[in-house]
Amino acid sequence: MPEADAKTSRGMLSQRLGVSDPHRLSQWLWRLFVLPAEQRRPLPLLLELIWLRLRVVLIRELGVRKPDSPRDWIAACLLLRPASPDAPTEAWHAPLIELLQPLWFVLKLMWWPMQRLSARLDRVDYGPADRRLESFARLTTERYPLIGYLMVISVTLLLAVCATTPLSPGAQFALLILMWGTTLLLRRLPGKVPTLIMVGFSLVASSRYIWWRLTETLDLQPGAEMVMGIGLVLAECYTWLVLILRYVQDAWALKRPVAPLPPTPQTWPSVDVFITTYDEALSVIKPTVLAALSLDWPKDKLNVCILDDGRREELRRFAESVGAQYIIRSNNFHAKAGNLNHALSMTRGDLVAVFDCDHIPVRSFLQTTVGWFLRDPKCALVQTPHHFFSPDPFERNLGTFGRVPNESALFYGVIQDGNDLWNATFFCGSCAVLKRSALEHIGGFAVETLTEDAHTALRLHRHGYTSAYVRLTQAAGLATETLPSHIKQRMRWARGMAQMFRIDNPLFGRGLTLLQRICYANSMIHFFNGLPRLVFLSAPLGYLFFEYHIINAWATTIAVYVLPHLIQAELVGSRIQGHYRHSFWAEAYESVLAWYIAVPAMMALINPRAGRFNITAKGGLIEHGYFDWKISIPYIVLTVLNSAGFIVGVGRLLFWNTHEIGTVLMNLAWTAYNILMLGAALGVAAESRQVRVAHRVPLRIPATLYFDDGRAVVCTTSDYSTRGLGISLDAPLAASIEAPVKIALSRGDREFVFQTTITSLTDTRAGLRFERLSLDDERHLIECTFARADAWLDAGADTPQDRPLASLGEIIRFGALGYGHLLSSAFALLSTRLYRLRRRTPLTATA
Amino acid sequence: MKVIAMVSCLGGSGRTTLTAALASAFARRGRPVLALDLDPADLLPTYLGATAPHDSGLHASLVDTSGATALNAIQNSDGIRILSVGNTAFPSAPAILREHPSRLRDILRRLGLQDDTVVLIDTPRQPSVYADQAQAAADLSVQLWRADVASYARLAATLPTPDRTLHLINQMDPTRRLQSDLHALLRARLGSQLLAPIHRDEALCESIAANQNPFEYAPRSRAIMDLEMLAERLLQALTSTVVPARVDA
Repeated sequence: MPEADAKTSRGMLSQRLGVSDPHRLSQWLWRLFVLPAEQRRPLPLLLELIWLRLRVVLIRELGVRKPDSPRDWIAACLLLRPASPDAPTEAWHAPLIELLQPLWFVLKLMWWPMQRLSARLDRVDYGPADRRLESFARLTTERYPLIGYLMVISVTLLLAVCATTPLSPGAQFALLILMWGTTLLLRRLPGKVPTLIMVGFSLVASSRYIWWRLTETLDLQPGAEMVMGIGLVLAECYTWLVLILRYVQDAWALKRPVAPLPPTPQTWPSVDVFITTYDEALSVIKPTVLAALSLDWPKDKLNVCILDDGRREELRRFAESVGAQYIIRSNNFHAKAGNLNHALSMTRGDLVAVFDCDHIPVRSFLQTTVGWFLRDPKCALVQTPHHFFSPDPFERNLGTFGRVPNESALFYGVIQDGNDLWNATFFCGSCAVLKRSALEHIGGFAVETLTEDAHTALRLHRHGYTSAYVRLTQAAGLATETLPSHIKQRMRWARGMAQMFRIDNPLFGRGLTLLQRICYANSMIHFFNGLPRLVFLSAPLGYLFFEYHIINAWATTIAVYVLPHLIQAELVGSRIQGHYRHSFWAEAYESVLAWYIAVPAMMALINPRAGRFNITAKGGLIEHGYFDWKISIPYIVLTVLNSAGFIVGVGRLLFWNTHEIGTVLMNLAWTAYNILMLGAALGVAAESRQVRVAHRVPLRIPATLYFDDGRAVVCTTSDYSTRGLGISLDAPLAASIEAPVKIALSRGDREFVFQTTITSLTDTRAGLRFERLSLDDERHLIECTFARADAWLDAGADTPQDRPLASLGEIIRFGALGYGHLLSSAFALLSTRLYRLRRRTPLTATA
Repeated sequence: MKVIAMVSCLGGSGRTTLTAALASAFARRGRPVLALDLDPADLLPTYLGATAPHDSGLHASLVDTSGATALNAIQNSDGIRILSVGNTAFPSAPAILREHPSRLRDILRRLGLQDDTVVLIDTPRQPSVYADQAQAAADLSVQLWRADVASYARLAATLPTPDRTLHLINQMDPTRRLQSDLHALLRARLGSQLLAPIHRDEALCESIAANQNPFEYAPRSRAIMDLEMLAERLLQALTSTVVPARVDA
């Protein structure tokens, strides 16, 4: 009986779809793309004309004899054209021009008003509007807070009305087009007003989506569908919440200037510089200490301390030889926070500057930061960005260093600056200055959580102190070296932030303003993104494998709601963060970390005092590129599931679920996107070769080469590291490789000379390796390079601005590359295993 | 006409070398240049390319109170005109010159040089009446030093008159620690009167030995870059008010 049923249903379907012979697969495939003649809709007149013209030209040019037979067309396209002695002898492109002319004309006609409009928009001066907005904002926040509150309330009400108004799918589609079109126009305009309008659109679109999802798409019949549906909707609510909080946090960056110091250095406060270390090599610590010692600050008011939890004799001798204080303690309680607290009890300076041992400060660090303590007596913290001059695992393995902003760029470029507007910038553990009296007031650095930095700042804010963020790169350091160590670091952050959320939740407790609560909460909630990301990465599988309809709506309806939500958010993101985070990269970063931070964050949320979560960091030399199988297991599993889902989905599209093609297509697109993101994650797991050398930093300053025969030649440096220098030459150098040469770099009026050996030489470039640097030489070298006040001023300035589509293209490319890596590594692994298997028998026989 | 005197109280400080090189630098900038050699050692013409001794009559003209002696300059291939005192002895010269401190100035004024001409004067080691004549005639004196202990001691003993004088360290060698330190000391002492130093560089001597224009011989060498900057700085000093123009007594 079922067989007969299938037969009749297939017969009906074939009739409806116009498949003439239901037994031939090719007929079905053909009908997938081409409608039968009687169902064909007429084309609009204009397109019909163009199509007719195109057909005529093509028939003539290709020499199609029977235009109604597809076979003839294919033959003609494959250049199997019959010899035609009387072919017209026109230029080859003449028909093309003839063909395109009407199309071109129509396009021009349509484009003309757009061009006029955009030219008109480009002529407007948007400065005054921005200034008016700014003064109005100041007025409402400082003089008439009541107006501000009223506005917030009315905007919230309006938003609620906009979000909850029901619309038919058609009307919702019209809204989509209207908002999208307006945004495309608005994003051309500079200034804050268009940004705020775009944020408004995005809020409306996303809130409408969430409201619609919550009210109309939930299927509350108990069962697997309900569980998965609610899981997905919760994940979506999470992203919606983070989006809204992020807009509050980011929409208005403070861009705080540097507060100048009084001209009398005797009145400047005294500073202790704490450099914390545990097991890092002396070669890593040395530049930081030397740079800290040469900070531009009165020498009697500067005390550099090395806080060594490793208690190493070598470090003590080094500290003594350079004149730094060496501080150790008898235990390692509370790790870094305990180390800092112990050092607080051993020193007496008015301010405390904290550096990780691999963050090298520039000489102007204190002069650009300390001013705020003098201007604002309640100020307890001044934070500056962390900048990395070596590529992190993402940048190294994907080869995006300097082209795509890295993961931390968004935080230090936008988020901290946005926090600063609400006096909610928090301490990031390094490159910051804190006030001793304030620290003593709150009982020292917080020791209860793994993120002692943010927790300390939260306490300071709770006690009424203020913080400041100066977005000037005044220090630079090394990024994490391998993916495992990167993941380990993020796990620690996620765990610490989750602990704070439980132990000292910023939403509750006294002393904070509402917006401080929001900013802190968002920074913490952000670390819970692991679980929702995993939900998104696996959600379409429910349908593809088991046909669970976890969103209870038609695919087209879903599309008209979800598209504005995604598009508007992406466009606003591109505008606000374009320079610090390229579109779609957030998904890529999150996809890599999702699996690893989901568990610790949740565990810490459930039990904030549970034991540590650690994975082993490999570190060290990466002599050959390798594929990190261990770390990529979760991605491989997800990839396999998604790929299988995709294949099943294609089957559903063609055979099993042809009654809901829209739903299948939507889930297929979703899975395809997931597969791409997972591919990028796999690409990151393929560790590219890295011999651990000193990282080279670009620097262009004049220099002089002094040869032993008395010649002195002018050149320009191109890059430097702690090991050597690259120089560019205007004229070929009369020298040979391995020849000794001295190079002079200047710092201010003074020149410093370093003994080097030429390691490579062409007509335009040369590489030099430092030889026999004394401690003084090293100090001077740091002063001339890493510690220059302008060393990092234009850091990130040449990262290109975000172009959403190009960015998507890049992710797709990395996805493909990731799969390439995966497959080739799998083949390599298999072949070595097979080889070993084959070898084993004779080997045991001889033994 | 702008007059620059190169003076120094140290032997071997490179007066003649720098005068010749600066003459080339100004000529490269399209300025008419007259190089005057007041040093009886008579090396400047050689440094500027002259191959045979030449009596220009400058010495006679300095001694001749009537002012009727004709001057006869030679010119090198870069268009630099050269007048030198030559090595003919005039025993009465010091006395006469001491009596007429502005004798050289009068001679230069009578030459009727173009307004944009730069006159560079090489002098014997101070104290010398010739150097005094040069300084009296100059819009700007460049006092040469070396970054060594002798220079520092001399500078401490006699601080020269501050106006119309700029100081210049020649043969600076930053690979020597002591030189760098002394340079810092001299800079602290002389402040803005100290020009950026000319570095020790074999290329300058080599170009003279090869009888070539140093700017063509080794254009990317350190001393040549220093000289380019020095020439610019001096032209700027001659036109700006920082160094007051000479006031006639």
